[in-house]
Amino acid sequence: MHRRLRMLSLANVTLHRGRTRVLDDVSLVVDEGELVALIGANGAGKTTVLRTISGILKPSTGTITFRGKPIQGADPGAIVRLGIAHCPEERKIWPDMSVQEHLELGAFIRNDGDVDADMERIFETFPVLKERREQLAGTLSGGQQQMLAIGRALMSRPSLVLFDEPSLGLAPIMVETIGTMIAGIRDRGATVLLVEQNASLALRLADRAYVLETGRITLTGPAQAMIENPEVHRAYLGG
Amino acid sequence: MRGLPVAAALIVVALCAVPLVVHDEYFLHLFIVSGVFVIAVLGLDLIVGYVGQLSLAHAAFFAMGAYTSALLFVRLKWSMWAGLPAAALLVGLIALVLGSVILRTRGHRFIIITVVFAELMKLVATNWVDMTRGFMGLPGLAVPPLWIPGIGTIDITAKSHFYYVVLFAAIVAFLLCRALVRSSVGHKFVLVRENEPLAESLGISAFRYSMIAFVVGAALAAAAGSLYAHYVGFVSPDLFNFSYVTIMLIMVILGGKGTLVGPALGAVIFTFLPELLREASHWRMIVFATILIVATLFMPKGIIFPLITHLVPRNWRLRNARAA
Repeated sequence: MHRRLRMLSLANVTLHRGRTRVLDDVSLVVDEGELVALIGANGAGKTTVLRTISGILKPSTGTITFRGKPIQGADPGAIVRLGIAHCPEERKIWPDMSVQEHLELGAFIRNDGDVDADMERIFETFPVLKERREQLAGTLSGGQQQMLAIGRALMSRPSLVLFDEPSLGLAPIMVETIGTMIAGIRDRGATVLLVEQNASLALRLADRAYVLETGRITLTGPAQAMIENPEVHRAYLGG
Repeated sequence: MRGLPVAAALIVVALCAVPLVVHDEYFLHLFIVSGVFVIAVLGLDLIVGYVGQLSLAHAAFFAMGAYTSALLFVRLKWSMWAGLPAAALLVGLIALVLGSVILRTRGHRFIIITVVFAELMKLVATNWVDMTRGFMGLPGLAVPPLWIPGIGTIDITAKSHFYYVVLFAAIVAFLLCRALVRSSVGHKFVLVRENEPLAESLGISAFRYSMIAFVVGAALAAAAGSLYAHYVGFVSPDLFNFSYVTIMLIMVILGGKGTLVGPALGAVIFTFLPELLREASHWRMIVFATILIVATLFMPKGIIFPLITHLVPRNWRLRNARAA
């Protein structure tokens, strides 16, 4: 197997909010074309990791490197322009804006002329969004809103997509659909860092995984090995 | 849909007719003052209503505009026609510097820093006696004659004349703000207000768009301050009093923040209301406070919303719900 290019790496990232250390010496890597899962309990700091990568939060110490360039401390706009899209957790849409407006905003940082063509491609992947392109996003179902958020993230033509709890609050059948779509994004060449509380879904989709516990990475390895790990099984897979 | 430009034209015609109908100097005075407040609170609505930051520095921007224009007049003999744009420009620049520090914060920290800034500016106006004459203020400001091509120079010191200057300025300010909030820039204001982290995650800089609203809003407050200074003919540190920012916020919030029309209407209502309540003599402030409380309870989104609901036909509203 040829060696993959290193896409993203966090080295010894620590982040404080007030006096609380929210991230404690977090190091992780994501290689090109991989789907890497970050699992952990509620409040472990998973969302904080993604928000630190996308520049919304600034790490206290440590380095974040994207395609060999340090990006810690850069503003979120610059990071989106480098090719990292962030698909946030709750409140992921503007209820009073239409489906089409959301997709256009996903391409906010682009100034090329291919936006319409990309939107058509998103509509092919998510036909339901095409049917509802004029509809206000607040009137979509939870699953459709998640599809819209995914589609919007793809509109920036990212090479790395950060997903934050895409299965949260969805019906089981919709969880499977969204999971298939995320795997599809990786299969079409993008790299994915997936944060999930639903560990069984995340480990099924992922190539590799990290476990985050109260701000520290406690375990890492291939996703299959994690599923078989009795510790992970007991703590996260409910067995 | 076609009714709207007609309604707007009717309102403008009615406003133009005010000095022909109202001959009472005192009522004309109230119309002029409400026009000045309209300009200032349109600016405040950009900040409070559109980007959703509660700025308590707005009255200070108003007072700084008044002082800038007054000082340029007293010290350098600049007329209001030069002093007003100079005041708007200078205060806009000050807002840019202040904003580059404080617009990185939100919520209570932002609010507290704006109060402190306003108090500091009051101290400067009070204590820089060599420049501002401190508590004695700067008297003797005059309204310059107006030159209109084809008509010539006319004197606008009379209230019935100055009214039209303020009306014109208020309409220009309204059209400017409306063009701004309807532009792609103004569209981003609302995205930032409704969900800042999401906007940031798409590369829309909350800081940059808040800054645009903050600077334009401050410049409008300064322009209003300049008009006010030359109209009243006198400026003093009292212009920095907290009551000014309170009344401006009442105008914006009870008018209907984030609508422009609402705060403009609020400016007129809340200039006239306390004056009309003089009939109630010593009960005046109690009645005024009661009205404020009742309005807050029953019209929490502002006076403009029940007005729209009752005056605008339902089918029209539905079709235009998105635009509003």
